[in-house]
Amino acid sequence: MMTRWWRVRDENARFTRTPAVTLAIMAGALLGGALLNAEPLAETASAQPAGWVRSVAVGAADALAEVSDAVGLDEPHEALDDLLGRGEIAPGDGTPPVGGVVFVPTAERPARLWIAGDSLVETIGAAIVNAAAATGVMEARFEVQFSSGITRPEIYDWSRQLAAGLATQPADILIFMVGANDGQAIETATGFVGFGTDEWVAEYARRVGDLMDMLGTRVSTVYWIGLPIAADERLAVRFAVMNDIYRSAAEERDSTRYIDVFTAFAGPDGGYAALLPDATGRLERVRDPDGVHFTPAGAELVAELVLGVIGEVWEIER
Amino acid sequence: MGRARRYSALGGIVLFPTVTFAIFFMVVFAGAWILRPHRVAWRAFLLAAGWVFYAWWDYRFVALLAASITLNHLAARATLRWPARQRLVVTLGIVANLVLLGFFKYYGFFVESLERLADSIGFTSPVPFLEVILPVGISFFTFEAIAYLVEIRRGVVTPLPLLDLATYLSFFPKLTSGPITRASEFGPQLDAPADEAGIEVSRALWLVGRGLFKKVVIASYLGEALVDELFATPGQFSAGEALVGIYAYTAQIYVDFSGYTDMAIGLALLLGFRLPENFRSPYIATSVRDFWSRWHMTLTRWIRDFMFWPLAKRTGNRRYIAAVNMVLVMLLVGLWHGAGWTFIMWGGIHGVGLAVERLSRELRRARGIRRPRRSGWRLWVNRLVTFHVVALAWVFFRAHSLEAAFDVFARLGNFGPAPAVTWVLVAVLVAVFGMQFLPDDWTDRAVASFARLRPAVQAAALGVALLVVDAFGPEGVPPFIYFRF
Repeated sequence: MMTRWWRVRDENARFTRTPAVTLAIMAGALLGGALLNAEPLAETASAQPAGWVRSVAVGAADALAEVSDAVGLDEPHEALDDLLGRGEIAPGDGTPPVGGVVFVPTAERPARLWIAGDSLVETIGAAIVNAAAATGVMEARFEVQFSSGITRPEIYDWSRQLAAGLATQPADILIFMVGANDGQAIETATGFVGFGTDEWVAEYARRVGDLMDMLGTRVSTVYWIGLPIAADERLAVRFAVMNDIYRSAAEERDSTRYIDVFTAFAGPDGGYAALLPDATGRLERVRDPDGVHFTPAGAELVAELVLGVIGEVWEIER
Repeated sequence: MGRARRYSALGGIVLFPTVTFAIFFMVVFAGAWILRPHRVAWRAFLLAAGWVFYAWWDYRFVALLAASITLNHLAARATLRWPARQRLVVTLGIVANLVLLGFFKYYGFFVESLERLADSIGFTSPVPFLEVILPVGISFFTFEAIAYLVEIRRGVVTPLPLLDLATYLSFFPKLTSGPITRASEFGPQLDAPADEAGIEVSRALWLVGRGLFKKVVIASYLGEALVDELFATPGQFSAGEALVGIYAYTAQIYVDFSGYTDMAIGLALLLGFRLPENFRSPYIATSVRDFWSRWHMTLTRWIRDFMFWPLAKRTGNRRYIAAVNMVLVMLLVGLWHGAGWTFIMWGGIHGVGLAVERLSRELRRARGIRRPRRSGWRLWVNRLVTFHVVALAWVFFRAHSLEAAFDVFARLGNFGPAPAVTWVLVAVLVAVFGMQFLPDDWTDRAVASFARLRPAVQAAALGVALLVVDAFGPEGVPPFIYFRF
């Protein structure tokens, strides 16, 4: 006979409660937790895509934040944040580094690379770090911020973060790649405007230009990697729109070079290709099944492309 | 490398540690207990909750879940209609389940291999290339469905009514990553009267809280502190960092998966269901066999009951045959985790470990040598050896390719300073591994202490726990490691 294991354990009524009391405990816990975490909850709510869900979430979270602030329940979280050193951007030494000049890197004076961007950089960053280390004259680090981009600085403000990061850890070369999350409404002085409208393009181009200008004063060269062709045709069209903006902005600035991976990762028919030949000619899966991100093998191809472009100017033998 | 993860905390409800899921669960909890006295409405409500939960991830795959339910219901009914052909019907049902699983899990791998082969000889592959998205949880509900059909064949259960089967396979706490529950365990709970004593709320909330802490705080910390970076760019690390990074992943996968299981069992308990346990201090195991009796226990018993014993029945279970069977079965378990050489290697290491242990036991028995007592230093040697075999295998499990795994191992010979190994990291690892040695009843004692608190104090304590989890956790919650299986 089978052991009825779900019956044999704890029949002790002391440890049980009615559904109503259980619901009250859970509701109390969630309300308490929401009040104690009101500030991060409000930030998360405002980071939602524009729409009624965001409006409702922001309204509720702001109300909670006000109550939490009024009764001082936001203080424990702030104290823990201070204790853990979170929430504040490192100020650096106060003097932003000024963009240097291109030089021939050596083992004694290697070129310092910083690769930064959204989730696309997860595999690409690792591949560039590995490839850069193999040159013996480059030192690389990378930073990934999932779900980040330029349309929503309230989620992650790349401009402030990169400025602060370069102040504390200077780099000679910045490789930047965002945009996968940017195909959404953007907030302007008049409110949110939908993707692809003239207002959207103008505002996005302004932000991209401002970011390139800021970075141009802090590193020798900015390499801006465009977005790859996507499996979803609508997404591919959006990526192409953003790539045009990156390319145009880079062409207007001496300190920035645009690297095209859109066409580089298209198949022989010009469309999306999940499999492409690697450096040895062997067919490899280069894109994740989501049709956007790169596999490690695909990231290695991007790294080859990027380091090839950098090497032409920086005279790096590979 | 900086890696702040910012998955939306409001986003998809398939992730338990999100605000959206908390709201969803409160609604489901209230609805389920209000409808509890109404047999059909209660089941239909739980089924609808499961489908909403699944649809939130990708609504298209609800049709897949419904197809799996229909398929298995028809197969189960057919066993009643044609009892003389029960074996054939069950076999066809299992094959259909495997075809479904195989298509979603292995089609891409198959087509890629075919394209490579065709390309290497200058041809074009005749099979169309499709990007097949792996539906979350397909391995788990397919394994449950197969177990259901086999249990019918073995006379352990009778075919469930369609609504019961659908409710069982779609039960959301276990839908995406188990525990792999049997129909013989879940079905009777659907028929049982509501527990008059009420809900084991203390145990349930303890499990949910513990799972949240394990997943959101510990697992995320270990990933960000060293693991992700080590496996992405191993060339940057010294021997000490690589070794601690391997230990850190060994700890991370445990807290991630067992944290999910804790939450699943706790949430099910709140809805009045008991799910089987899945973990029992796996890293104090003194052999690979012992490890598998403590790690992903519901998968282990599935493998044992539906793969190993049926195979042994056909081939015999004598010395070398049993050893070969163990290796074969574990290779298949590796393949179940993913179509790639890294998973095959992982399964192979465990299979060889199990086979070697089995052969040494048999040889000892054949020579009349008594089994050495497992106490004192011998016990610790066994534990350490087992732990390191398991940790070694995890490297293949985590790495994206065999080459990447060997890159990590290669760093073990690169002696130098280890700045990435911080005291906090070491303390967390000591805590995770040290917890494995707590006595089995420590949870019961902790639950008993928590249960004696007044409801208002319990709610306040849980609110503070949420503060700690949020403050110490990363921004946003990455998916569970086992979601991809």
